[in-house]
Amino acid sequence: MASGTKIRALSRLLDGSGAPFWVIGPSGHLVYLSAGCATWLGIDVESLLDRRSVAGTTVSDDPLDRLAASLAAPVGTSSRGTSSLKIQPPNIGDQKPEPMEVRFIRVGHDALALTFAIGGAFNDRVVDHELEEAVAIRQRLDAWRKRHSVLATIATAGDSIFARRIRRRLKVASSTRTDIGFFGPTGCGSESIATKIHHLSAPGESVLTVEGPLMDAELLDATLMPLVHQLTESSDANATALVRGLDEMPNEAQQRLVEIMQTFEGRLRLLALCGRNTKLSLQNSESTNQETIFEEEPTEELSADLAEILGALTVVIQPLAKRVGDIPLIATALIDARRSAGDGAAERFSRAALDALVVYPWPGDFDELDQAVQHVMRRATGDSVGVEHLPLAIRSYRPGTNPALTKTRDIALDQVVAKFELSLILNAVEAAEGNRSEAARRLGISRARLLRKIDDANHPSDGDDS
Amino acid sequence: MTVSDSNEWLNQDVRSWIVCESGNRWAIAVRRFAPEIMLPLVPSITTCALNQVSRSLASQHPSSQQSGNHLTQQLSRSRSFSTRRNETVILCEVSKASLLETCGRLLGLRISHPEALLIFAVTELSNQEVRILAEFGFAIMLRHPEELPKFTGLIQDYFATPAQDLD
Repeated sequence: MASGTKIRALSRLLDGSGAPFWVIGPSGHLVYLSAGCATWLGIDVESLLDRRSVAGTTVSDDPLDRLAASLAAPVGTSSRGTSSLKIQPPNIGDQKPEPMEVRFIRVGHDALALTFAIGGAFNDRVVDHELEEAVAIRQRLDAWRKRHSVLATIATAGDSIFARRIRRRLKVASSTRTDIGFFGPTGCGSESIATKIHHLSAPGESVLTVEGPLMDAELLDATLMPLVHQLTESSDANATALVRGLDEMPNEAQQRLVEIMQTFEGRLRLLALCGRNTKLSLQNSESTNQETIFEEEPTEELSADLAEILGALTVVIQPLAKRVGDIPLIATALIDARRSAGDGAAERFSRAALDALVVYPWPGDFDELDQAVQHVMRRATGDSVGVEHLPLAIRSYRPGTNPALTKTRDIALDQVVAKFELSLILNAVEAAEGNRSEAARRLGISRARLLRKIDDANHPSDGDDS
Repeated sequence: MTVSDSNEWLNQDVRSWIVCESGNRWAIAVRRFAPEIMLPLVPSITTCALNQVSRSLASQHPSSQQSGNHLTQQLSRSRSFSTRRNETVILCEVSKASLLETCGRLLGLRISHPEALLIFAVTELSNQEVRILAEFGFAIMLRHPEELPKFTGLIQDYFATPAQDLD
C-alpha cells in the first residue's frame, strides 16, 4: 500500500491557522481536532478524541460525549458526500461556544470513509444573480426546443406574441404543401425558415432559388427551365420555386411566373420572400379588399394574381426591434449553435451584454444579430460574453436622438395647427361654461363647424379619410 | 403669440419621464423605448436622485406656478381642460442595499405626487422585498430593459387625453 507524506507538518499548519477543523473516523469516532477547535469550544480537545460523533445515536449524560455528538455530520452526508450545518455546541461548565457554520466532506469509500469538518464563514451560497439569469434563459431555451423540436428555427425563438404567432403559422405551413408568402424585413431569416418549411411539407421535392429583382420574363423562363422540364417529363412530379424579393420582381416577370404556375396547376409551388412593406392587392371582380401586411405605408406591391396565390397562407416575421423580449433567447440560441459548431468557447452573455443587445435597434435584423454572435465567439475567451466583446456599433450605441421622430415633429404643421385650434375651441367652450353655441359665437364660427371640429379631434382617422 | 408661448404650446405633446437610478442602465432603456411607446406624444427624459424628484417635477411643470401673460394663462387653462396635469412617469431603481432608504423617499413621493405613474426597476430583490415595495402602489415592476415595451398599452392608457371623451 502506498503511503502519503507525514501528517505532522499539516497538523502544525492547521493549528497555526486557528481554523476549527476535525476529522471523524470510519467508526464514527473523533480522530483529530485542531487547536482552533480548542479555542472555539474552550476545552482541551484531547479529551474529545475517540468519543463517538454520529448523528441520531443515543448519547450518555457525559457532557463531553454530548459535545462530541454535537460535532457529528448531518444524516445523509455519507450518501451525498458533502453537507453544511450550523453547529451550536452545548455548554461545558461556564463555556458558551458560539454557533459555527461547518462544512462536512466525506472522503473514501465504505468502511474506510472519513469525514472532514471545517468550521468558518463561507459565502459560496450567495446567489450569483447573473448566473441565475443565464440559467433562467437556458431553461426557456430548452423548453422552446422541447416544444418546437420540429420547427425550431432560431429566428422564431421566443415567447413574445409575435414569436408565438409566427410559430402557429409555420405549424400550418409545414403540414400542407401550398404556396406561402413570407413577409419580413431584410435579414429576418425568412429564407432559412422557408427552406425548413419546404423540407417539412414536401420532403425530397426539388427546390430552385430565384433572385426576383434581377428577373425579366425571358430570364425567368431560363431560370425555371430545369423545373419546367422536370414537371413536363412526368405528370406526377412536383417542384418548388423559392423566389427572393418577389415584391421587387418586375411586373412582366411576375405575370410570367403566374402563367408558368397556372400551366402546371399546383404542381409548381411558390415560396415567396417579400419585404416588410408589401401590399397584397386582392382587387378582383368580387372583392375590393386590400391587405397590407404591415402597418407602415407600403412601398412594394404584388400583382393581383400573385396576391391571390399567396393570400391563402402568409407568414409575417416581425423585426427584432419589435420583439425585444425575444432577443436574449435568440442570442443565447445563436451562441449555442456557434459553440456546437466549434466556433468558440463562450456559452452565455453577461447581463450588460444582453442589455446592449436589447437596446440596439437592429437595422440588419436577425442576420446582423447572427453576425454579432459570430464576432463575439471569436473575441470572447471565457465562458461569458461581456460588452467589450460586442461589435463597436452595438456596444457604442446610445439611444436618445431619433432623427425620424424629430423630423416628424418639425414638419407636422397640419397636426400642430389642428391641435392649436382645438385648444382655442376648448378654451372658448370652457369660458362659455360648456355652452357650445356661445363658444362658436365667440370664435366667429357656426355651431355646426365647432361641433365638427371637436368631432374630428375625437376621431382623427375619420377626419383624415374625409 | 410669442415664440416662448408657441414653444410652451408645442410642449403640450411632451410628457415627463424621470429616471432615478445609480448608473445609466434604465435611462438608456427609457431613451430607447419610451419614444415608441408614447407615440404620438414625445417623452422628455431626465435623470435625478430620488430625493430630487419633486424639484425636477416643479421645473418641468411650471404652469401651475407662473402667472405670465393672458394667452399663457388661457393655454394653461386649456391644457388643464384637455389633459391631465403633471402626467409623469417615474422609474425608480430599487436595490437591496438602498431598499430602506428608498422606501422612506417613496412614501414622501407617493404623498406629494399621487398622480405619477410609478415604475420600479428591481434586479436583486427577493419576493419578500418585492412585497414590501407593493405597499407603494407601483404600476409596473421591471427586472430587465426588454420588459418595458410589454407595458406599452398601460403607459398609453395613462397618457390618453380626456379630449377623446368629448362627444
